[in-house]
Amino acid sequence: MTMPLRLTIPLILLLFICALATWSLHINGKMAEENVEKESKERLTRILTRLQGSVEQALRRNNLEWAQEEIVGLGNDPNIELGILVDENGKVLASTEIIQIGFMLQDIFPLVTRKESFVPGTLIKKAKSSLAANVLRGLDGKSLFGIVPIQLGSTEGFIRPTRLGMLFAKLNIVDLKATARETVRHQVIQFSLFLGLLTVGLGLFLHYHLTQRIQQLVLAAKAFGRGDFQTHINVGGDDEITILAKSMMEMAEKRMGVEEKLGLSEERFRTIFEEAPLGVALIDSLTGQIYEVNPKFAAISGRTREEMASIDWMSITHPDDVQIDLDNMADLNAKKIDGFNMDKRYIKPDGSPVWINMTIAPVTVIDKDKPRHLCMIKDITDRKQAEEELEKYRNHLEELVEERTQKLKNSQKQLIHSEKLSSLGKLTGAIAHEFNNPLQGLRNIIEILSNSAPSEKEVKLAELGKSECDRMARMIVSLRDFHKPSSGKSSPININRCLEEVLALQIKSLKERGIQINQQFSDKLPLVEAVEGQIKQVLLNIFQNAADSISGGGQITLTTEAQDSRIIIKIQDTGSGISEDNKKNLFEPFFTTKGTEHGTGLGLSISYGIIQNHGGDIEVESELDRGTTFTVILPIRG
Amino acid sequence: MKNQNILIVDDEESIRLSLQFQLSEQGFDVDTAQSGEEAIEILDKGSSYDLIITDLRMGGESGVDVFKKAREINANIPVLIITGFGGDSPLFKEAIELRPCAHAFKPFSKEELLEKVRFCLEGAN
Repeated sequence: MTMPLRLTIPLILLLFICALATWSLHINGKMAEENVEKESKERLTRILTRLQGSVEQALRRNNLEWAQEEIVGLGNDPNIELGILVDENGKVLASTEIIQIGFMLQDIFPLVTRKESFVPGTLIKKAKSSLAANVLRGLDGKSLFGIVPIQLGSTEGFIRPTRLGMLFAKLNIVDLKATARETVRHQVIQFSLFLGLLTVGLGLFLHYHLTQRIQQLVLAAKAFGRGDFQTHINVGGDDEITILAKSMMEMAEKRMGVEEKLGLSEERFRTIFEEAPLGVALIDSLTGQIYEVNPKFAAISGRTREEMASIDWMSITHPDDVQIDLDNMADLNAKKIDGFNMDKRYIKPDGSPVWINMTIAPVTVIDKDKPRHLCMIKDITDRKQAEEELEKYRNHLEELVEERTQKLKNSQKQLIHSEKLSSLGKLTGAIAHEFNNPLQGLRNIIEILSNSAPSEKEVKLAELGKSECDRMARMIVSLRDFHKPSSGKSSPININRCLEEVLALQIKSLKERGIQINQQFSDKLPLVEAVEGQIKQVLLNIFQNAADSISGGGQITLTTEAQDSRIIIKIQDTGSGISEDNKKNLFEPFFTTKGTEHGTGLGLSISYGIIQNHGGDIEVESELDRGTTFTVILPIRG
Repeated sequence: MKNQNILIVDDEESIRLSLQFQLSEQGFDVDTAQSGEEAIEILDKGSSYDLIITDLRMGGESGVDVFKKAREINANIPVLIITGFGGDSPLFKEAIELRPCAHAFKPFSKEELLEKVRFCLEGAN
């Protein structure tokens, strides 16, 4: 709490006055009482001396009544309580109290002998020896006692007046003292009041002449501090304060000129900062603390300017971008680079990222010991999104091209195979007919000749000829069928059931050959859109190949499973396997390892064609002497 | 009782002769024609047969032409088709439209032939 000087000084003065008054009252009161006592002593002495003369004169003329009147006259003084004249024996001759006359002093004042109450004997002795008046203050301090010897006359027989009486008087000084004290009190109060008024006057003077003017100086200084140099100081007068005010005004005028120029410049740059279409921020180079941002910067980062001023840039940067930014900052601080530009992400308070392009350069602002960075950012989220879209689109395009190329490759592969089969089919079809006619003739002739065979041996030979004709006929049929375009309609078929039916045809011969069958069929196999007869033909063909590869017992494992939009059929045998050379020719027409008596070399080639026509594929894995796995892949939707 | 007579039409000599031999052996009277033209000519001359056995594809007039000619003369005459092509050849499909009494794919056995010949002749009666 501040206490204005204009109050403090008068207050101190008032306190001082109070203390002075108290002290003065005490000291002067005492002095006044002492003076009163002294004056009273002198007065009583004078009264008694005067009475000594007048009473002795009256007594010398033997006029006791006169003497008594003189004594009674004492009572006119209000402060004299008692006046008594006694003779040399202590008998009261005259008194302010009439009734006491004739009594013995000891009887009237039993206490007279008590030292503390009345006149001590020493005083009487002193008065008797000096024959003059003596006054002494009573021990209680309330009264003065005076005593004076009175010559009563001479005793008979003596020429000299030997009879010596005593005149006693008691003066009450309590009232006198009180009056004196009261007077002093009045004087002190008057003086204090006067001083008090003087103090108030001083306060007013200080207020109007000094404090108020200084207050004006203070207000002006504050206004200058705010940059308001227009403030006029009117303190009046012609003293040091006036000079100070003038100096301040002059200083303000000079300052105003500079400020005006600075203000214009500041305003210009402030406007550029505030209105800039880029986000601008001032950052501590070492701590990353953000000092100030412009409205655009705050808007891009999704925060208020006040929020921005209390955080560092790391806390609003996407975690993936912080390290590279820190590396750049380190290079910048090490003066390896003059500045840098990068794309990065800020995280808005709602967690969404915003892409920015940021340029950072060091700047010197105010304090050279505190290096700052100027950071300028631009919102490039739209551009980034467009780039991402483009990238996505490009990738998609690549995928499409890839996919299309793969499809084309597959189609081409399929086409080549079909073409191969087709031209082969046409050829075999044509040949078949040409072969059938002579074969018919040949067979008929053998038959006719066998009727006239000379011996059993010739008959057997003729039968062999006929069966060879039949075999040739079968080959021609299979050659002819080979090129037939797929006949039959697609329908939803159950692959597990197809496999079971194929298996049922073979089961007897498999047992005889010591081949064990494992079935691992999926329960949830969907139906497949396919030509049932053709699929069975394929499965039978592969199954027979598997069985034929096994000699001396073995295993065939049949597995079905659904994968995405296709089903996988695996036929795995523990047979002799296929060599690498043979694997290359596996699907070529007329390629067989079974010898011409057992195979046409068309089974797998036809199977391949069928599966390709269904949009599927056949894969082969094989290891010599370990076995072979054929995998048939069929799409679920035809 | 007069023997049943059969006309065999085929451009392959070995087939013509062997079939003629096999059927004659069974007591049929058998004539042969080595082409469609010859067969039509024979039929035009007014020769009548209980059964005509014809190949389909021959140089020149086909078995179908012979079939049609035979049906012109005698709407009920049974015709047995023998062919070296499979069932899906266009000529065979055309021939089937004309409702032959039977057909046989070459090469066939003597038993198959005789069975089908008898079937055709019985059906005609």
